[in-house]
Amino acid sequence: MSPEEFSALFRAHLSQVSAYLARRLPESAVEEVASELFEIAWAKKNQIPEGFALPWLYKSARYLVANYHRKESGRSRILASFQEPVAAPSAEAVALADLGLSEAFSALTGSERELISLWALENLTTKEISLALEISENAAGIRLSRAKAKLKTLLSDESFD
Amino acid sequence: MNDDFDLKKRIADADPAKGFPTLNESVVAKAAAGHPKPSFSFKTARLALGSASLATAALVVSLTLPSALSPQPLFTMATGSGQASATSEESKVSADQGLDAMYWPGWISYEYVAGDELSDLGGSGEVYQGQLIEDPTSLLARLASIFQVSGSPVQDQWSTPEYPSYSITNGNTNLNTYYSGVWYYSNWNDRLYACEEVISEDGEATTPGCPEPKPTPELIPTTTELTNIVLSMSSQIGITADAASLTIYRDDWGAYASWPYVINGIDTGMQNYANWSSDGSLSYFSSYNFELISRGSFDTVSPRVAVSRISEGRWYGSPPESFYRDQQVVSNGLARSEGAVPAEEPVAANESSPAEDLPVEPEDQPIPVPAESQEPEIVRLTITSSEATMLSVWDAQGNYWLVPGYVLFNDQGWFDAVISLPDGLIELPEPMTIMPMDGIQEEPAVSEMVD
Repeated sequence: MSPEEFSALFRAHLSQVSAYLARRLPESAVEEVASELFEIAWAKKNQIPEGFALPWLYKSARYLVANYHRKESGRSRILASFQEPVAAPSAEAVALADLGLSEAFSALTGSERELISLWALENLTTKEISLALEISENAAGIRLSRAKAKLKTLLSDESFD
Repeated sequence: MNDDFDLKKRIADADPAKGFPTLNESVVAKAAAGHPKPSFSFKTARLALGSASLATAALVVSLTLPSALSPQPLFTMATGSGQASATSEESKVSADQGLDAMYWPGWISYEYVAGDELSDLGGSGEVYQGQLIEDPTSLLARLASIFQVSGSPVQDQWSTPEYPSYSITNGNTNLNTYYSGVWYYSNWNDRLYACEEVISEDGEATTPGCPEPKPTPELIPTTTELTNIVLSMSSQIGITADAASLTIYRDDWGAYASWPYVINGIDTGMQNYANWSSDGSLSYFSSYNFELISRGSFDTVSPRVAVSRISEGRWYGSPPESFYRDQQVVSNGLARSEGAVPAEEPVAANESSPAEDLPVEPEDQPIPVPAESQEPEIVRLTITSSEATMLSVWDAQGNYWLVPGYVLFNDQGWFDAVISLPDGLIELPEPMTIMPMDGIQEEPAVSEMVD
C-alpha cells in the first residue's frame, strides 16, 4: 500500500475516528492519540483485514484510549484497572446532555457501556463490534442484547419512551 | 419504530462528541509519510527525569531519610492515581480520569475536619517499586503450558514501545500480558451460548433466536474443589495463595474466586481472580508478574496532617481490596500495616472499633438538575478514625508503587485513602479542578440522528 493509498483509505474514516476519540478522551488529547493510531496503522498496514479498516481502527484505538487513561490516571481501583481494556465514554460525558440517561449509563459496567456506545454512537453492526472487541459475533450479539435490556430496564424507571 | 430505535436515538442525542470537529487530514498524511517523532520531547524528558529520580532513590535504599532533608522525588505521580474514596459520590464525580477539569451538576464541596480522636504523631514507612519478574514472552510461554494454550507469544498490534503488550490467541482462548505486569487467561465458551442469528428489520444483525441457557450446577466444582484448584494452579504458576485468604462465590451459573496478590510476604493490594463457566470449565484467571523492590524507609506525616491532604485530591492511593469489600478496619489485618508503622502509639483506628463507629452508608441521592445551584453545597465531614496501611499508586510512566498511607474514616460511613509520605518525596500532579455545570445544553436535533 502506497502512502497515497493509505491516506485515501484512512482519510475516509477520519471523522469516525475523531468522534470515537472525542467521546473517550479530553479534547486536548484527541489529536495526539489519533496521530499515534495512524502511525500504528501505517506500520501494520499489511495486517489490516481488507474491508475492515474501520473496525481495526476502533480495536486499536480502544487500546490506545485505555493506555491513555492508565497513563494519565494510574487508576488503581483494583477491580477495574487492570482487567481487559475498556474504552467507553463516561457517564459524566453523557450527563451533559441527558441526566436520566447518564444515571442509567453509570449503572452499567464499563464493558456494557462500551458495547452500547459502539452500537449507538459508532453505529457499528454486531459483526463490526465483534471485530473491534475481539470476540465472536455470537458473543457480541448476546452481550449487546443483554446490555441493551439492562439499560432499558434502568431507564424504564423514568418512563423511557 | 421500536425500543431499540428509541434507545439508540436517545443515546445518539446525548453524544458527547457532537460538535467536535473532524481532525485535520494531515494527521493521516503524516503517519503515511513516516513523520519522524521529535528526538527530544516532553515525554522523553519526563522519562529521563524519572530514571534519574529512580537512580537517586537507589542510593538511599535501606536508609531512613530525616524529614529535614529534601530528597529528589522518588517518582512522579500519575494524575488522579489511586482514586481511593469509598463513596457513592466518587463514582459520579471522578470516574472519568481523563478530564483536566470535571463538570458535574449539583456541585458538592466537602470540608474535612480532623476529629479529636486522630493522632498527631507521625511514623515511618517503607516504599516499594513494582518491577517485572519475568520477560513477558517467557511468562506467556510458561503460562501457555500450564493453561494448555497452543501457540507462541506475539506482540499485539496496538503494542507500543512505551506500553508493550503480548498475547497468545487460539480461537476463543487468550493469554495476554501488559506492560504493567498484569496477565490474564480467558476462555470464552461459545458452545454455551450458541444461537442462530436473525436479521432484524433495520438490517442489523441481532440474536433474538438465542435459546435460554440452562443452569448446570452439577458441573460446577464445589467450594472445596474450587479451593483446591486455586491452590494447585497458584502453586504451578508460582503465585502465593492460601485457603484462608480466598474469597469464593458459587451459584448455579458459575463460580468466582479472588485472593490477594502477595509477593515477598507483602500484600500488594492487588487481587488475583479466577472464574468458572456454567459448564465448570475455567473461563478466566488473572494475576501479576511483578515483585516489590524496596526503595527505602521514610518518615510519614501524622493522620491529622493527612486529613488536610484529602481535599487536594492528589494524594490518593488505593488500599487493599478488603477495605472496599467490608469498609471495616481490622486492626491487625493481613499485611495492611506492612511497612507503614505508626509512631509511639497506635492511631485512633486501632483503639476503637470502627465497625461500631461506622454509620449506615448514605443512600444514593437523585442527580440534581443542572443550573439549580451554581454555589457548591458545603458538606462538612469529620474524620473519626484512621488506620495506617500501604497504598497502591502509579507513576506517570505507568509503574506500580506501594507507599505508606492512611485510610481515614469519616462520620458519614466512607473513607479516603491518603499517602502519608512527607511533602517533596514524590512529585504530585497539579490539583484537580471540579467545576459546576453551567446549565442544560440544548438538545441536538433528532434529524442529526443516523440509524
